Amino acid sequence: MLTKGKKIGIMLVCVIFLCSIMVGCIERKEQEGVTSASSQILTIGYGRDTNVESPKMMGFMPEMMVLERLIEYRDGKILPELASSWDIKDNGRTIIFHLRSGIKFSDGQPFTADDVKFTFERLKALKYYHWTEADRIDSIEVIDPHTIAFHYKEGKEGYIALTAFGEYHCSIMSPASVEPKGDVKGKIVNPIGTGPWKVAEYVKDQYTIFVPNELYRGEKPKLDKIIVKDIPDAETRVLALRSGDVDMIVDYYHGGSRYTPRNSLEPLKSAGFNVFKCEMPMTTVIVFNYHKKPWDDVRVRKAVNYAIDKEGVSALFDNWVAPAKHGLYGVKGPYIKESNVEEYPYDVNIARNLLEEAGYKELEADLILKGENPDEVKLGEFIQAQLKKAGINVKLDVLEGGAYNERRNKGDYDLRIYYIGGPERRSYTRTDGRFNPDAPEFKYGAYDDPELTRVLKIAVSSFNDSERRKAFKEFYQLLHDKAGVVPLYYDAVFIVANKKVRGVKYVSSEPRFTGVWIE
Amino acid sequence: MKRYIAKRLLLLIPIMLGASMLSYSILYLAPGDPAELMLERQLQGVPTQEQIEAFKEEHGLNAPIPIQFANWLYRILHGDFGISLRTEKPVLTEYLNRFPASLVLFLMSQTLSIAIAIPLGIISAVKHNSEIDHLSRFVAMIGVSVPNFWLGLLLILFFAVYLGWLPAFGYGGFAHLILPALALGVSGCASIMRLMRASLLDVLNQDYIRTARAKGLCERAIIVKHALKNALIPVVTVIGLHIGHLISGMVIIETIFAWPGVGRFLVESIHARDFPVIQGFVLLIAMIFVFSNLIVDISYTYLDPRIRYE
Repeated sequence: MLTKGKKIGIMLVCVIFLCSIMVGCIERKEQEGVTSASSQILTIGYGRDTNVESPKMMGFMPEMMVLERLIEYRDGKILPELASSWDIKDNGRTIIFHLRSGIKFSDGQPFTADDVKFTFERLKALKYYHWTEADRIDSIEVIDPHTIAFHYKEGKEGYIALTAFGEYHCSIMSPASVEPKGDVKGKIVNPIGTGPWKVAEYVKDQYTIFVPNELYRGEKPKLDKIIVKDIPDAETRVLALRSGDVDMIVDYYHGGSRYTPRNSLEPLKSAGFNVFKCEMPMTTVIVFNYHKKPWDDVRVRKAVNYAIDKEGVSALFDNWVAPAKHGLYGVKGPYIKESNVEEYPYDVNIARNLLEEAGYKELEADLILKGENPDEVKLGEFIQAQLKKAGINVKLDVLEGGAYNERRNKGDYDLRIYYIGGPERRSYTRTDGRFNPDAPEFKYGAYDDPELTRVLKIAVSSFNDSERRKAFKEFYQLLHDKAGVVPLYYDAVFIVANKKVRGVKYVSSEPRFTGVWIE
Repeated sequence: MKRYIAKRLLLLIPIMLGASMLSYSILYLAPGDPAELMLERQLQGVPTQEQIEAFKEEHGLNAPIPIQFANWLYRILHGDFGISLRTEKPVLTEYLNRFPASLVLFLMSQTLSIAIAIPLGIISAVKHNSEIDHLSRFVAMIGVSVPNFWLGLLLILFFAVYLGWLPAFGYGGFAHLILPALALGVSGCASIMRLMRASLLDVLNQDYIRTARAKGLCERAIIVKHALKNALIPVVTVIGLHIGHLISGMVIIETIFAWPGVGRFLVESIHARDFPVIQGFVLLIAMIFVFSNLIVDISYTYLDPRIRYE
């Protein structure tokens, strides 16, 4: 006869046993990747679900790995990819792409102009106009299986529309990727592209397995398999790398969120991990509520610019991001190197004088911040301390996403932290979206001014290189003179990997894994 | 008893209706436009007014709030929990897909809590003011005070990074379950232990225990047969309430350990203002909470036969 204590003990053991059985029974086919030189498997920790199956658009990572675009925008140039060449007709109202022949999707189907049409008709049907500039398109005409024409609405043509063909969501996918097959409003069930990888397995919120696409025409991947594990918590990603559960942690492709904490990079480097940095034309800035007093006064805006020590901002993140001292973008921004704009130096006295000149001895300012990003809060505290020295008392309002939007939409703030630009492929669309009030993405843009808008429109629209160069230089200078925003630091994206991972390379602003192998 | 259970089950209806109305109201009182927040996440940018209007039209978010609530309630009564705005899959499917992972984690953490807390609580009470009592109280104090997300990261650091014994994150075999279950179970374990000790000490001072001792019963029989059952009543109540606390704790632990459970999905849905998911999940969680409390109440009659529900 068992005593009650023993019975309870047996019960507890049974529950533990049951839990183990349940864990084992729940469907799980995968993996146990992690550095295996013989089988060449790479395990990546990533902060977001890859969204390989999606009712609308898949994530940027599979778009870059599985799909390709008609063109690539890289190092300030438009380069051919799926399109071998293009013609600009009728002052830009029509762009005709000549597609490469002999290319096949990973399912063996040939790549044709109909697939291109499907991709862009889908963008239009789903109203995915953000950074794709698909709203500018009037009609799409398949001339022959390897030639396609995009006709633009009047006044909507421009160089920016051409660069947008390199945008993530303009990546070309086979109509077989969606269900119902070929339906422009269908759900993506399995992305089929022409890129170096294809999706072998996907479990939402857990992992995605990519394997080489044997039909890819370019450099064949050296790896047998890439397992991308979804680890939303940044600290866990770092610990998973340290423990060897993953070989590599990769910042969210677009940058700006779900990244390796900047203050973890130095310790990781010291611990023997390789840190790969890719600077991108993305700048974190302070945006003013510039329609409201006193921020409509250029002297006040300049005072804020003078009052912030950019080196100090960079030091906050262990100098892994560069202080914004040379214009709107650090690198890769259109014609930024030639613009020769120098940002306002750190000088509290000038800041105080400018404020006094504008009629303010002291100022009160509400800085709204998104609480979900700890770095933004840290930056806000730094700004608060800096502006205090110049006589601006900043009140920090750390808000949840919805509350933040409400305050921003109502214009109930003085200052906010924002980012300009993004990956290089978005250089034109993002600059336009932040400073051109006529752009559909503007809505709560960074700054606008009639003169600035006029110059920017020429800069992003002209098909003439020297005209664009001249206009961009003028735009950067004007923005600086008007102190439209306060550039704080030039952002970057990072990969941290263990020493066995070789051949890591960024192309433009995104990592490419075709050359990666395990030593 | 049957009448009592039937009554309690009937009470489920107003409780769940109340929980739904409350969560619906809170959601609508929360700042921010759900359509805008949802689109912002989908587009990775600020949506245009045209997109916001189209989204509201498509998902019936333009109707007045009471109408939206009534429509939602009507569908619920027909077994339709709606479609997630984010994944465009049925809410019930999303819940059921994630429920096993959360259940396993919950069962494991509760088992660990109880298996550690009850014996320690008993030892602490029996040997009160001894060194072992001081030590276990000190440990319990730490256990209650330590936030579970911090403990989770420390556990990863120690067991995964330094010792390399267990995986740092993820959903897989039994090894994957240990660290999140420990992180989740420790605070519960500490509070159960403290309560077990206090409750048993209280019971041990009562007259009938003195009588038992006077009869010459051995200490072991007094504790196990006479004191423990009575002392367990408040402990069982707390264990029942833990189910509610664990759900909130699981939100954090599931995020830290990348555990694909209900909590993580819910918190992502809250950030995205995925109304159908939040509503559906709140309703289902409320249901679980009510049922677990009912089970706790019924268990009282087993622990103390003097308790009768009529």
